[in-house]
Parts: sequence; C-alpha cells; structure tokens
Amino acid sequence: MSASLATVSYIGATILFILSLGGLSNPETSRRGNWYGIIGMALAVLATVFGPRVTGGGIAWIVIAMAIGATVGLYAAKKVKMTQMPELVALMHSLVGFAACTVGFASYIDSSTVFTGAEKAIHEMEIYIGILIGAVTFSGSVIAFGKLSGKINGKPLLLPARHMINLAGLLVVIWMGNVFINAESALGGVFPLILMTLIALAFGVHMVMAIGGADMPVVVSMLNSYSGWAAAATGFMLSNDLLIVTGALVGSSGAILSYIMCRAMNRNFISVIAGGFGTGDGGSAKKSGDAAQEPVGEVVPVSAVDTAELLKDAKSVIIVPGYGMAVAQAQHTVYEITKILRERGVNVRFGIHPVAGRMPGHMNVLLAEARVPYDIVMEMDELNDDFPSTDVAMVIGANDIVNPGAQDDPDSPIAGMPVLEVWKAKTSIVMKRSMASGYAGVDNPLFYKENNRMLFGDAKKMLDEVLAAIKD
Amino acid sequence: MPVIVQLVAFLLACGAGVFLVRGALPLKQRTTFLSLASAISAVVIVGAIALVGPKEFSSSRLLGMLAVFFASAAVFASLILTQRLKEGLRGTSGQEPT
Repeated sequence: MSASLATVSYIGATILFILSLGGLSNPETSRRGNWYGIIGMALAVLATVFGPRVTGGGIAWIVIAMAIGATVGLYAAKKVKMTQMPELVALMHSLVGFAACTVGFASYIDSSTVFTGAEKAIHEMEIYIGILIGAVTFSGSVIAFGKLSGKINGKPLLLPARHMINLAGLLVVIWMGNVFINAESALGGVFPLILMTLIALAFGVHMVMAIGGADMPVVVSMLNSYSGWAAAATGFMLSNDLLIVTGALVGSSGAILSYIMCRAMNRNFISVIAGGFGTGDGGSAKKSGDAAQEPVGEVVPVSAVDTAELLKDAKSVIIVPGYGMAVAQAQHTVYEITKILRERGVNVRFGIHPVAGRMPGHMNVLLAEARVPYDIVMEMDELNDDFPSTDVAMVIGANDIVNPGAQDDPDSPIAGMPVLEVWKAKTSIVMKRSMASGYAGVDNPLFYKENNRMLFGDAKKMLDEVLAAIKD
Repeated sequence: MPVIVQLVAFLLACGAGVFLVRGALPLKQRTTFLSLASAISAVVIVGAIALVGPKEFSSSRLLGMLAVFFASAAVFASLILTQRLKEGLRGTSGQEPT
C-alpha cells in the first residue's frame, strides 16, 4: 500500500471517529456511533499494517500481540458487571497511557530514522512530552482504578506540602528536559528520561490520591482527556497525523466535560486538578482523620412498611439515587415501585446530581437499563427548587450529594458543592446500609434532621419489602 | 508534514472536541461518550504497530509489541463496553411512560 493510500485511509478513519463521537448527540445516530468507531479503528490499523512502515516480517509479530491483547480485552469486557464499569474505564485509560509511554521509549531507541539539528531537538522534545503525559495518565488511572474498585480508600490523601511537592516535581522535570535535549548521545539521554518518568509516575499517583470521592467522576473524565493528549503527543513524535487529530479530539472533549462538571459543582477546575477540594482543606485533614464516625445526634429509623405508607400517601415524590443503588443493583425494583406509584397518580421524579455515582452519567445509565422513562429523570438544577413542595424525598444509597454541610459548613471538605436539597421536602427518607460515612468520609447532618427517617439495610432487599407493601 | 501544520491540525481538532461536547452532548450520554472516547484514544496502537514494523529485530520492536498488546486490549474492551452501555440505553429512546 502506498503512502498516499495510507494517508487517505487515515483521513477516513478520522472522519469516522468524529462521526462516532458526534453521533451520540442524537438517539438515532448514536446506535451507529459505536460501529463507526469500530470501522474507523479497523481502517486505521489495516492502513498501518499494510502501510509503508511495516514489513512482511513484522506483520506476524503484530498479529500475535494484537491477538493476545484482543482476547484479554474481550474477555474482560464481557465478564465485567455493570457496577464495575467505572473502574474498567479507568483501567482503559491506564492501558492507553502505558502504551503511549512505551511507544515513546521505543521511538527513542528506534534508530531507523535519523534527525539532525533543530529537527532532532523538536523530535526529542516530543518524545519527552509524550512519555511524560503517558506516564501521568498511566499511574493516575491505576490509582483511579484502585479507588473506584474500593481497593484504595476514597478519602483524599492530603500531604502537608503537596503543592510544593508538585511544584518541585515540575521544576525537576523541566530541568531534566533541558538536560535530555542537550544530551550528546542516546545513552546520555536515558538518565534524565528515566528520572522524568519516575517523577511523572509519582505525580500521577499523588494527583489522584489527593482527590476525594465526590470528585471521582471529574477525575475519570480528566484522565480520559489525558489519555487523548497522550495519544496526540505520540502522534507528534511519530509524525502521525491520525494520532495527532484523534488524540486532540479525545483530549479536548474530555477536558471540556471535566470543566463543565466542575462548573456544575461550583468547584474550581484548577483546584480539582491540583488535588484536594480547594477550600477548607485545612480543616478536613483533621476531621476526616476519624475512622469511625461518631453519630452527632439521634437518627430516627423507619421500616419498609411505613416507608410504603408514606409513599402511597404522597402526591409528589423525588427519588435521589446514588452509588449505593448501583452496588445493590436495586434499580429494577426502583422502577417497579415507580411504576406502581405513577399508576396511583403520584408524581414521581428522579433527581440526578452531576457527580452522583462514580462516573458522569452513571445514574442515567442505570435508570435507563431499568427502563425508567427518561422524561422523569431530571438533572439537579431542574428540580432542586421543587423540594419544598415535595411530600417525600427518597435518597437511595447517596450521601455526599445530599449533605447540607456543603451549604452550611465552610470547613467541610465538600463546602461549596451544590447539593440536592432533600431536607426541604416534607419528609426525607435516607436508605443506607449503616451509619458509616460516605465516600468522601464526611458526616452528614441530614440524618439528624427532624423530618428525616433512616431506612437501614441493603437497598435492594429493603426496596423489595417496600414494593411488596405498596402492592397491598 | 512540518510541525506548524501539525500544530494547526491539532488546534482545529481541539476545537472540534470542544464543540462536540459543549454543543451537542446530552447528559444521558456522558458515560457512553467516555467509554467510546477511551476506545478511540487507544488508536495509539497505530503508533505502536509502526514501531513493530521494521525489518530488523530490536528492542524497540519488543517495546512496540508490548504497547500493541496493551492498546489492543484497550481497544477491544472499550468497544465492547460501549456496546453494552448503548444496549442499556437503547430502551429509553422511544419509550412511552408507563
């Protein structure tokens, strides 16, 4: 295949990628979206395999590596449960980061094309930046995977001098960059490169460790963006236009998504990236140090049967789902309850907080899977003012997103974050397994309010009981 | 292609990405978007393939193979995941409230 045919295929692949991402805006085109992505990817891979740079001998190796990778990927994706989906996405980002980083090293060692002078400096800078972004993406995503799968604690790790540490790391990286580019031989350049990689890996770890539970959805979309930048950097280093454009597409869309979400949470974008919660992190280090949260008042428990009564007598109900609903796989029962209540003329709506769950849109996906009609699934801003006129607000497995402390307590780690004002409803019912603190490790004053009732137990089990009681 | 042209292409693509999300992405589709974007960023596999290509056996080829392995896993897993997410969302697009 000639170089120009390969280029045309690359252009085709790029167009297909743009169409596939863009197609999501419309229910009709979104079904084809994934197919466009698949075809585009196939086109890109085939164009490269049969393109000018790959020889017959190399093809066998490529096929072997791809076959093994494909098998592993297919197996993992088919077996994983929907509740594990956020951590799988994080894992994907780490793979892409690792691949980009590895390609950077391989490209550095590769002696098949020789550059001189200014071109050499530019090429080396591209390699340096590529490896840097790839490494940060890789380690950050690995930590994100750990936090999302529960292997790592959700509480933010706020080292005392963390901004200084990050700054110091950045300065060393820049210094090493200078050393790297001025290195006389390939061997001389290896040391600064490796040092930079280690610092980049450490930075990735530090960055995500410093981010707490409530911000995880933003982190996931940020890492998605980084994986795009890593791909783009790889494109610059290999002079591959497909990678440059596609990487930029993914990188910028992820960045905008993260920015939009930060705005929706009234949180400063830079402070989320830099780690921690921006304001009030002095107080939080002390407060979230307590492992066992002592109840700061009395809570009033309620039974499933009484809950059913409250729901039956209500004229309007708002349900606020959280990660707990996902874990308990309670969304189908929620749908059944919703259906019956609506048949009885109760106005049932769902309030989705922008960072409910562990990924953007997490709750929407679960509710859609349970066939809840999408016109009663609303964003927080659309119904936050309606709580005072709502009879019952039911919180299912959510904690930080309904915490009044975000509004009232300036020292709270989640201060300033918009929350769903469930306490303004006539009665609020919080479903939780126990009194343990939420993902961000913060106590929730909602539980102790006069008009709040706690429905303890596994969400699915209790909701099944509520459903049975409602049907009577 | 000279670096300047590459930079311009880069910036244009960034603009396209911004527009795609800001202008047009419904809130319901965010998860699917992230999953699909993951799959697409795994296009680094193309770069890795190009490095495995050349005739002589070298350490860069080994590294390239490693990268191809990881990138392929990412491609396939992300695309399957996106498919599963789409199937989950498919039920609601024309649904009448019950």
